[in-house]
Amino acid sequence: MGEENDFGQARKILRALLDLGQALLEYGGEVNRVEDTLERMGRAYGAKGMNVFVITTSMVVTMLHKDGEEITLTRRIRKPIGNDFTKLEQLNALSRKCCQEPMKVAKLQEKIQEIKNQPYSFKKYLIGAMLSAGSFSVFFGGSLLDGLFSMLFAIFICLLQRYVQKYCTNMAVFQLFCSFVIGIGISVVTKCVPFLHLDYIMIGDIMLLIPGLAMTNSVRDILVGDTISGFLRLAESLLWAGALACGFMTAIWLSFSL
Amino acid sequence: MIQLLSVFIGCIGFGMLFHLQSRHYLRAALGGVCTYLVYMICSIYIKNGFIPVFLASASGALYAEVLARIQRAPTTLYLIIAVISLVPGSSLFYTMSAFVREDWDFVYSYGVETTIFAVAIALGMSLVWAIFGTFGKVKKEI
Repeated sequence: MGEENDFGQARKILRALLDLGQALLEYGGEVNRVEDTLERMGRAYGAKGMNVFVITTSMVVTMLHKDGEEITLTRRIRKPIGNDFTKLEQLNALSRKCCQEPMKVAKLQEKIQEIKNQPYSFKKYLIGAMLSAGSFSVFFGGSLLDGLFSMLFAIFICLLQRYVQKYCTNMAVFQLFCSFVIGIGISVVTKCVPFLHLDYIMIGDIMLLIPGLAMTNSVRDILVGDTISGFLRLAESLLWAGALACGFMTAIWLSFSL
Repeated sequence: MIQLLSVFIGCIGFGMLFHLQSRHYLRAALGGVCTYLVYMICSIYIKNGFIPVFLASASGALYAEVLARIQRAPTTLYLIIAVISLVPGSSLFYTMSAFVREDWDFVYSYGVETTIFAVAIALGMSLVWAIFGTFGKVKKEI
């Protein structure tokens, strides 16, 4: 009886750990961090051995429990990489705390859910996008007016990301669509208003759409030794960047030839 | 000066975009400004496309790594924002516009510039990680 209980316990622990790992991945953590965290957490919860394999789209974890029972759980991850550093940091702090003194599994689950359910502030995202697009178009040599228009288009990008992205089959298609629409918009506006510079406005908005986080994380993963997941994500982010370039190029080509 | 100011604001903007906790904004954005300063100063003295970016990116990664250790937060938080000012958004754009105009000389020169920037950023960061990683291992042995 006791043994069976323990077995159930191990499974519960592993399930909670997978939840944690999935959340870390989805909020923008590197693969290496996820593997490392799961390994430490498992040992903190009394596992004798942990076999953790994580790539950007799936996780496989085998845990050797202290009573000799071995269990494996896998998890497929379909959500594209997001970025929410607040949640990432909180999850990280939670796992650090847990490694020092493990809390009850039910409580861990609860805490993870609590962090996940925090409201996502779209307003903050919007303001951030406007500020960065505007200031980067000024940074690369545009006038203040260019920055202002770049901000306007940043709002547009955010709205597209919020309302249109879920209808696109994947991120590359969305990048293509988004950059094309934004490119056309910018070309039209710069044709109508003579003081504006097409290039600087576009550069500001390109900076927003470049998958910088994915690229940095992938390079990091490759160097740390997670070559498979690093290259997966690198390929993915290069594809997104290519789609972005194609979208803008088509828009520029149209605006030149009209 | 305008550039430094706009980098600062832009970095804070990216901080908000990534939902960084507000107590980190200033620290992260300062990292961005420092990285760019290093780039500017180096590019005055070193006439080379690669080295300034490399040094700037390494210094940004160093800043992020040290700060993350002190704050006990993931390095990514600071790293992304520190190196964002080096991302070659403009040369990517000029590559594309030259491509559309079928101006192959420009495509070549801007394309090479974009690639060099990207590679230099990656290598600069890796240098710092390699050093930190080795130190961590050595420390464990002792």
